[in-house]
Amino acid sequence: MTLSEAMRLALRGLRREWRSGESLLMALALTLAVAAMTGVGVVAQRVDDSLQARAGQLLGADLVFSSERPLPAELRAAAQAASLATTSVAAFPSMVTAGTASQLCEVRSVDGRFPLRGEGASGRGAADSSAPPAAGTVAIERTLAVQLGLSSGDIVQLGYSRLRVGAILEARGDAALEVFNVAPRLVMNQSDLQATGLIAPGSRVRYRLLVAGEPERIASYRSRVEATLPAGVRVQGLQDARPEIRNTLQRARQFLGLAGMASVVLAAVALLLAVQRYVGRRVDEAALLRCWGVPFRRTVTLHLLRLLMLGGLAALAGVALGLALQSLLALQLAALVGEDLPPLRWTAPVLAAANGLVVLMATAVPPLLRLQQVSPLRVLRDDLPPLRGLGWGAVVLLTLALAGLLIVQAGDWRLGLFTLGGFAAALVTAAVLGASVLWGLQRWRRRASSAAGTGWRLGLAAILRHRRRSLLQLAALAVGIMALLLLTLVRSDLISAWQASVPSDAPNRFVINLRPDQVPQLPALFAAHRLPSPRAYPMVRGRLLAIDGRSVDPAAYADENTRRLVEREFNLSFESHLAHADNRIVAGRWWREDELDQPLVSVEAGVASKLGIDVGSRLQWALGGRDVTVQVQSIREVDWDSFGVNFFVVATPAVLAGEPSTWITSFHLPADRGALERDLLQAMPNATVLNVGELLERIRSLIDRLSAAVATLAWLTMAAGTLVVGATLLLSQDDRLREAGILRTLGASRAQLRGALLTELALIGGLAGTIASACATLAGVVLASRVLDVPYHPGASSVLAGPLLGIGLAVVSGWLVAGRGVSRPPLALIRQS
Amino acid sequence: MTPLSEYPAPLLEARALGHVVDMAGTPLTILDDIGLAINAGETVAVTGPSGSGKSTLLGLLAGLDRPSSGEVWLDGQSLFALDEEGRAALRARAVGFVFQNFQLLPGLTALENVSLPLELASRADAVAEARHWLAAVGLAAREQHFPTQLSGGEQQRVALARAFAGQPRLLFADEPTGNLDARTGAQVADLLFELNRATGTTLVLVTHDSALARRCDRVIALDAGRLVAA
Repeated sequence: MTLSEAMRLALRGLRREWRSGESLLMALALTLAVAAMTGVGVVAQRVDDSLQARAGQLLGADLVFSSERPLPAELRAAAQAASLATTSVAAFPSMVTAGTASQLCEVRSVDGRFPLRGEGASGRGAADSSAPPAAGTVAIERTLAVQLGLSSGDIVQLGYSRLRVGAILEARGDAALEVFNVAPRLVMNQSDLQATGLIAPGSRVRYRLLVAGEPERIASYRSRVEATLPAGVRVQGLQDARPEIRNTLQRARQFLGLAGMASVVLAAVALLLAVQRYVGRRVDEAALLRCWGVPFRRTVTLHLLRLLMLGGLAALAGVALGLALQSLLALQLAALVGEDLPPLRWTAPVLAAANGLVVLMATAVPPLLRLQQVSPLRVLRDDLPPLRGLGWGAVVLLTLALAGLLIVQAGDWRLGLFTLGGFAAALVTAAVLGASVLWGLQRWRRRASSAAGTGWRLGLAAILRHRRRSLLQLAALAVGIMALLLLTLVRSDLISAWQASVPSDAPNRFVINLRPDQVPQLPALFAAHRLPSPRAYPMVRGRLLAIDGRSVDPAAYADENTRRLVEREFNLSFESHLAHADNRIVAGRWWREDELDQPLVSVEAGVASKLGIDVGSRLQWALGGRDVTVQVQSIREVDWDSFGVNFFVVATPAVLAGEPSTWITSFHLPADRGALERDLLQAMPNATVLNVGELLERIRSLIDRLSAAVATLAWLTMAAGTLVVGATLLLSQDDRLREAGILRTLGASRAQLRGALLTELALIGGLAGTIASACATLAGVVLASRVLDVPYHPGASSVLAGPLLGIGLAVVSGWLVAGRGVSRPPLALIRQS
Repeated sequence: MTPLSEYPAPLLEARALGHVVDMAGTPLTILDDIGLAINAGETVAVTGPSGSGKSTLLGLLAGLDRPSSGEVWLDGQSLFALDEEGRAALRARAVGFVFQNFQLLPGLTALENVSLPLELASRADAVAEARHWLAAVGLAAREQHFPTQLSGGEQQRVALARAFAGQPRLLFADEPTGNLDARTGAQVADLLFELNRATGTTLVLVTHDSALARRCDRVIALDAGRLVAA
């Protein structure tokens, strides 16, 4: 048989089979899987491209050193000696005022070209786009110009200096990527910095050294200086540019990828079931062909060709659907990134289609090979046992194929396996819960009299008869609905719980960088606006050097957040009395009057547990120019939701009072008292007001957008779960039709048959939905208490939506597949089997 | 052929019954102009070689399928004047079945299989009645067993209990011993005739087993869709 002959034969067979349910179901399942993989794959590629394209631009250089203290001069000298370009930058937030308007901005004080890489000041009139602003001038971002109504040549007030606006910067590439850094940028010449009075001991300044040059020189320079860097200096190359953004986007990407995989796994299960029926219906045909002496190889080739053609068509449909899906996802993610994603490349759709075909073959080949076991004797005897069960080979092969896909999707084998495990756990949980419910039903049914309607009894009998099938339906549907509930209703319940937990008069403004001499002016200022004066707290920066004599090594902490915590300087405060209403001592005790002169500290409980600090621990700190050792007197729990000013570490005045400090305060600014903010800044131009309300709103909208994208995929997961229900029903279609025939013969009315089918479907759907609701609610409770720390009251909609959705989906999909059995003449129904 | 007028009130009557199916565009006649009448209490065997249309005739007589032409009267009612629902209701009231391959519902226990038609007919004493009939076929101890836990002979006995439990006026049996070995088949046949005698049910038995056919009052022979002896 030539290939074209085989293709022709296969095509003919395909056309014949198209009308049979399993072909349609296989096609649907594959379409769904390919759509999920295409959608997620393309979005992932576009996010990656966007990150790659921006790496240099984000960094503004090839290599950046940064620290909270001025960088050692040798670092720059070594770079210059290696013929590398350098620019030194001091970065800090500050308020900039023009006339009566003021705005928080990110100041970059530079002493050379800025940035060294990527687009810089494409300012009007600037010959060299990245030349530093001339002394006495600043370059400001367009957003800032618009906010303050500025144009080139206008004067702005920065601290105690008045500077002229030179260039207007077009929106910089990284602005929208900085989730927590929303302020527009202002670039100034380093020679003007001193006069502004903005840099004082304790100010929140980050010092950077930008380095650029040929890749080899950069590499050798980096390896030379990296070993000698003082503690607290961070190095970022192109590979590790802006880890916070990269991490945020990559997490979003991975999250989407894994959410997409849930539908792929369920679709694969549906595919496996449909293939099983496909093969099951070919057993007699295979026996006949063997009887005629057709080589098995040829039979299998024909089937595989048929499936590949079907798969090819389905994959094309999947790619089309996936492309539509990805444009929706890209739209949702673009809001996250702040601008359009780069265009799509075709590798992802092609890969998705190929992966889809791999899954099809992984599901189809083992059952097809089992046709070899069909005895030709079957043509003579129809009482030979049917080919049931798939064997471990098929399950192992499919699991391997899916694990491979998951690992590729997650980009990390541990995460991939973890997800597969989590998914399997969800399925098993749903199945175990389902099994116990079925067991209960079985017992109840034995006791139930015939008082329960016939339809009900028949429906229940159908569920209990094929327990494995019922459990599979239950579990698949439950997982699909669970995913959807978690990502939609439970999420919004949690967000509202969190919002409700923030008091309406919670502080919405933080004022930082206050000088000690400015603190006594606050009461008068607030009184003028008829507002209570907030309490201000001193803030001293210190680096944690050692705990109980063991020096602190960031690399020793596995948790990334802990590592970052000890890498950075802590904000320490000091007080005599515990004035924070939102603090609670959980171990040890607050210091007494007579202990105020002792070197004691109180540590926040979360930090204490992360760093292994306990009451009695001895902590060594580097403060300004000296090191001190203090003893932990108490551990405090802090209610962070109060949005009050709080510190991880509070010391007795004796430890810190002599250190240079800035002060911080927070207050609730009612919407109609905006004038206070302006007056405060005019009186204290060095202070910075942070609008926390705006920040919270921004974070919330980011979470909303990301979860909207994930919810889009959850719908797909639920559709795949429904397909599994359809597939299992299809698998039992022959039995069902035969039973419908017997019942009709015995005189059952259509209403009774309908009742039986509806009971069965509604029971399966209702149980699956209830299990999904229970699991999703439980997950919500765990998230609320363990992660978000808010009281959680599941909304009625979250609890009811599961069962209703389950019943709706099961009944609709089931009726489409199995409903026709109700209205056929009984003889046709019996004969068909 | 016996003139219809000899039986003033036959329980089951076929008039000019014909059945033609479409085989790849060519009409194929399965049954041609069948006329017969069966009185209440009679036992009648329908015999004939494979493909002679025996099972099709049975299906039409029971109203399981629609004929191409002709009519069937059952218990004074023209079957095909009724719709599918009406025929189902009539079967529930007056007809019992025994099939070659038993046709028990695999998800129901022996007891539930027997009580099912009674429940479908909304009989309040369905379970008690089913118990009685299971005992009558000697399977009282197997009430809670599922079909797969029973032998072929036992399954057919459950089917007999199910058929007789509704106390049908008319019982159709399609090769009731066809799937059983000779000894079990003989036992099931004995049970069938014994229950039939005890209840006075009218029996229409399709079989190619001439010994079984001879146990009936009358034999109707079919060949190529036509009656050859009655």
